[in-house]
Amino acid sequence: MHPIEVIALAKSYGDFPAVKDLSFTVKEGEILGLVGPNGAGKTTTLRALAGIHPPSSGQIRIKGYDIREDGVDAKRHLAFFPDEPRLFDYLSVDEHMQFIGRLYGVPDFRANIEPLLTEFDLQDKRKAMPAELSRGMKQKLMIACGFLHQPAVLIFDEPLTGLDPLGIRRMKESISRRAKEGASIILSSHLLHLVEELCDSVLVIQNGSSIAYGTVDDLKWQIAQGRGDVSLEEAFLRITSEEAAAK
Amino acid sequence: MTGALAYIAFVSIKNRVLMAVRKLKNARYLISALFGLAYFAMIFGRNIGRNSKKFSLALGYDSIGMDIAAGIMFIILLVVWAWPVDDAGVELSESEIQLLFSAPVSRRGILFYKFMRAQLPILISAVMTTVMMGHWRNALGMWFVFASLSLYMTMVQQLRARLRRMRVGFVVRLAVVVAILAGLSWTAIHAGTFKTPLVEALTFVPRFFAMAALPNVPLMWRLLSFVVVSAIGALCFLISASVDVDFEEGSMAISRRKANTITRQRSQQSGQWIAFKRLPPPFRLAATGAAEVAIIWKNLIASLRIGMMPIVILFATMAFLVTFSFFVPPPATKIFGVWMLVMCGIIPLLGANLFSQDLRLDMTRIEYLKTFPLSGERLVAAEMAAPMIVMSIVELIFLGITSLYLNFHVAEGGVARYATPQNILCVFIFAVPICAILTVMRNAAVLLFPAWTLRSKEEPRGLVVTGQRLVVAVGNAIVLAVTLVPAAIVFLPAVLIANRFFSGSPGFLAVASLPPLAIIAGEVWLGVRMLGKYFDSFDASNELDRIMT
Repeated sequence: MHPIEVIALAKSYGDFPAVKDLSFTVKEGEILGLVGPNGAGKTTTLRALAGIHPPSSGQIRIKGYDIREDGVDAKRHLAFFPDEPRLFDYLSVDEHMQFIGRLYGVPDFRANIEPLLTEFDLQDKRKAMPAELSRGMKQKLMIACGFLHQPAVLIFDEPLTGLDPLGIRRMKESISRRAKEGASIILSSHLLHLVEELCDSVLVIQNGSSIAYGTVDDLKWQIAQGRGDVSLEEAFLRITSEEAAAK
Repeated sequence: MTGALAYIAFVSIKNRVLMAVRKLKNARYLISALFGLAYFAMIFGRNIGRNSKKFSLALGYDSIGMDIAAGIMFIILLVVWAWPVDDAGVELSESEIQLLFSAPVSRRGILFYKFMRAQLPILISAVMTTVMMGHWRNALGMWFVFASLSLYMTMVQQLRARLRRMRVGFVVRLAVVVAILAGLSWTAIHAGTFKTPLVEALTFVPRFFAMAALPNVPLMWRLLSFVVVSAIGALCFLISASVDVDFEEGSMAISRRKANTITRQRSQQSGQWIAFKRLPPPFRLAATGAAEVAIIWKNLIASLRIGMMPIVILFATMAFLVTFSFFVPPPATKIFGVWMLVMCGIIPLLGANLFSQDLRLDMTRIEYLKTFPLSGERLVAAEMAAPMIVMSIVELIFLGITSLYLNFHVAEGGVARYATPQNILCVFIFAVPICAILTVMRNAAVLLFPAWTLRSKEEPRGLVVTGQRLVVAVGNAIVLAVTLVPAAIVFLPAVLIANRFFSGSPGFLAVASLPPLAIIAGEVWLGVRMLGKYFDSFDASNELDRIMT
């Protein structure tokens, strides 16, 4: 059993099939990069995994719990980081952390808040309200909140949006460290160099379907076909353009 | 370039109308549009019938009605100069600023675009105004007047900015306007009439505006007034385009101010305006225990920081009345007492609207809520608990103070005999479940019909939104009435039984009130369960465009 198991996932908006027959797994300590062109169905997939959008069909298991049948247990083990941080306007930074700590039943959460705020450069903003934070800081707060209960499954949708260079470096370090500690991570991003740098495996989706799935090296080798090294970006562009041409 | 701007303005208006029409394919928009249409038809239909006779008198160039209208128009045209804002430019949206100011468009082009964009709202205003006056056929004249006035306002705005550069500020402008009005009044008083040559001269141009706008003006005068008003509008346009001011900078300042105002108003309307940012949390959150407490804690903070203002106003009014009552004669103290009693009755009904720090506040973050490790039922119950607690505390304090006040001030009066501890307790134990039912209803509305109850950037306007509000209000009233029927049915026999067996004893209250209370509590529990189940299966993706602001 893997921490993340997705079997024949499908999600439709009315008559429009956003995701079709998607299957993949993420092992402990693995980082899976979810890439695809705009409108490919990446965010829909991530939201279904986080239990936000109920799947139209198929199965999603988080640490063995079905997201539909045992949603509460599944959600205890995961943290979802959307591309757009939506904080509570009326809670300060510190209160956000306390709220999440109690919500997830983190024992002695107050002791864990300080290191996280330091990790994300928010220690001077403890009393600040979201309106007083920049977009990047809001993003950092959202991520700090998500890390508080030390989830086994982390789902990132464009995690670097709005972060400054130092924030980007720290974010990458945080993600890597958590993977090394055993967390299973899915990372969706258009920044293919980030995916190449951080991820162990890649799932390329287009028009809601999987068009390539494997380790980063496998994908690159498959595209290069013995003709030297190619970047993930090159591999991605070739795969998606070949798929589009085939259609 | 003018052609391109005219095209953008035309296409924007066309698309706005098409979007509104397209939305009517959705049954809930269609129903609300029909309700809104029926409402406006009722209001305007009544106005047409009622007011048409008021303007049956023919208004010639020299008639008294025309003199008055011209005088009012003159005052409007003059007072605009005393307006405090003295930034140049025009109000544009953020995207308009980005697109137009970076494109090779002259100021004249931007003014022309702004004028064209304003025509649909101006036309609607003209039609509404003339319909309200009972003379919808005069809408064309009103349109000419409003369009020309908008150009005049734009011109005055540029000239106010120009005056500021010449160190003529708001105070001077205000003083000049006041001096002109005072001088005119003084000369009129001395002459014994307003029809002095000076007033005649000053109202010469405004008279044409009045003639274009008012009904029953002879055709020749009307046509002439159209020409004059249009010419004035064109002149204002040319002046606006040529005044030496910081047009772009001013436009950005005006637009930013307007955007901030809209954001603040929306926040206030949706209960997101934080009045007391630094109020501390009501209690320290323990690390362990039920997860629901975190939601209650969060919403209590929201209640304190967002919803505190109505509480402050309520208690300040009460404190004022209690203090004031020591210095006024008995009839006034009785009136104060009745007001307090009425407020005790109203708080449960108003409270559900005043304190909306529940799903109504959090609905825009539904995606975040859906990731919480809580079942829908527990989450919905926790969300609604905070406003319930606040309402109950406010009601209890109000009842307590009212009871003391009545017994202290109106001991021998009629109302005092009702302010017994037994009755006060009875009112309180009924008030809380009624608050609960109303809170469930409001939350059900936001979950079942998010597009009707939440405000977003693409929210419908006009007919549709009026209809939606009517439908929601009527729906709420019906549901409340229906949910209270079973409790009311049980209450009557319970009172009879209590009266028969427990008259005069404390048991009376328990026997009379517990059965209906149990029914209301059961309904609330059922409501929470159903809403919880609905929340679990709620697919935000189908509503995202409507709820994500």
